[in-house]
Amino acid sequence: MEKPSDLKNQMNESALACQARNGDTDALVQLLQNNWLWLKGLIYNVLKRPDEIDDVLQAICILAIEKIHTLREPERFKPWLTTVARNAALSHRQKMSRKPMQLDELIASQQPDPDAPGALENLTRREQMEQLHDAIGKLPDKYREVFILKHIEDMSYADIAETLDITLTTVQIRLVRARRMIFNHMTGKPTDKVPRT
Amino acid sequence: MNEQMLEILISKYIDSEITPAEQKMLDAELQSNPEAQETLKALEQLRDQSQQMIKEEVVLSGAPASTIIEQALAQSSRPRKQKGTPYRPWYRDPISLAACFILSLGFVSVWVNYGKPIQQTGSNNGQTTARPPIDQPWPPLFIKSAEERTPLRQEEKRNPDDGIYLYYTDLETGKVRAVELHRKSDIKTVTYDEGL
Repeated sequence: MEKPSDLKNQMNESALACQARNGDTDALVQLLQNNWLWLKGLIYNVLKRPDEIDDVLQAICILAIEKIHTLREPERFKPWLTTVARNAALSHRQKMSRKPMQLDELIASQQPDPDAPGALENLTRREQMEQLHDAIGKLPDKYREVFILKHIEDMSYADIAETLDITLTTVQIRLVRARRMIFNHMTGKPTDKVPRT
Repeated sequence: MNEQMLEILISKYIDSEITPAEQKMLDAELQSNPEAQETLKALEQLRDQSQQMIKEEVVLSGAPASTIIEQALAQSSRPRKQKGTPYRPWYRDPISLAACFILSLGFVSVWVNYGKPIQQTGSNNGQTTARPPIDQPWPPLFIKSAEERTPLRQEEKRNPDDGIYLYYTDLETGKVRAVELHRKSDIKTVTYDEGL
């Protein structure tokens, strides 16, 4: 069930989306800023590379500015933005897959940053993080998507369901399964066949 | 409680989405099942680590939102429009549409009637009678006697811009007609009674 504050936020968002659709740039900027974090998470889920998130975000912003007038239902701004973001991220990934990675880029991407704070001191922690990173990266897309949205800004199940246009139960089940898969990967337990849901 | 149910409850608990009834069930299970406590601890740790990792890798990386949005606005081909009346093309504006419709009607009317003689109608004693076109000869009219002329004619004579009103009797119908004679009147066919 939706909380009153969620309902109020949704009303505000619908009003902003309505204004943005009618050409109000300030309203659109406000909307993009409000949805910034999960948008980043969604792109990260597709690209799996944080260094290219900004390029895709900019492309999404341009698309949103140019296509906002095509938004039919202002109350469904989040699903609309999700579709725009997914398409932009997939298109970017496809473009990048054609471009061969330079050797120095490859080496740099696989080596830990020596200037990072506490990199040497927290080696165990870093190893754990890398293991977790690997486990999250190996999740099927739909599970990773829900998992990242949940952990990036502690979105509620209802918000995730609205953003991804899926049911609340599906969000709940995907989160449980994603956690189970990550847990099994980190503890070396075998993971069962991934269910379809 | 089976393992799947326990995982669902723990997951809801660590995401702060658990209901009071579910919380009671979970508490009871945690008290009686040490494995459930271990699972809870492990999943809480996983949540914290995941949040930390995603925060470092995604949230804290990259340029601020305002910078990227500003750049996008600068690059966007769509013209920027601030608050105010939304842009609407003329064909979506009802006032423009109505004006176009009226103008079109006017043009069609002029085009259809172009070159045709003007049909005039007039009323006399409440009866509407059709008048012949200006460029066609009028039926013979007779000016009535001077005694029957109204003072109106005399008043209008004072104003040089006004027309002169003459009263005629139609021989065929016997009806009296007032004819306004302008200085540039095109009415030519008038028959006068010689008795006047």
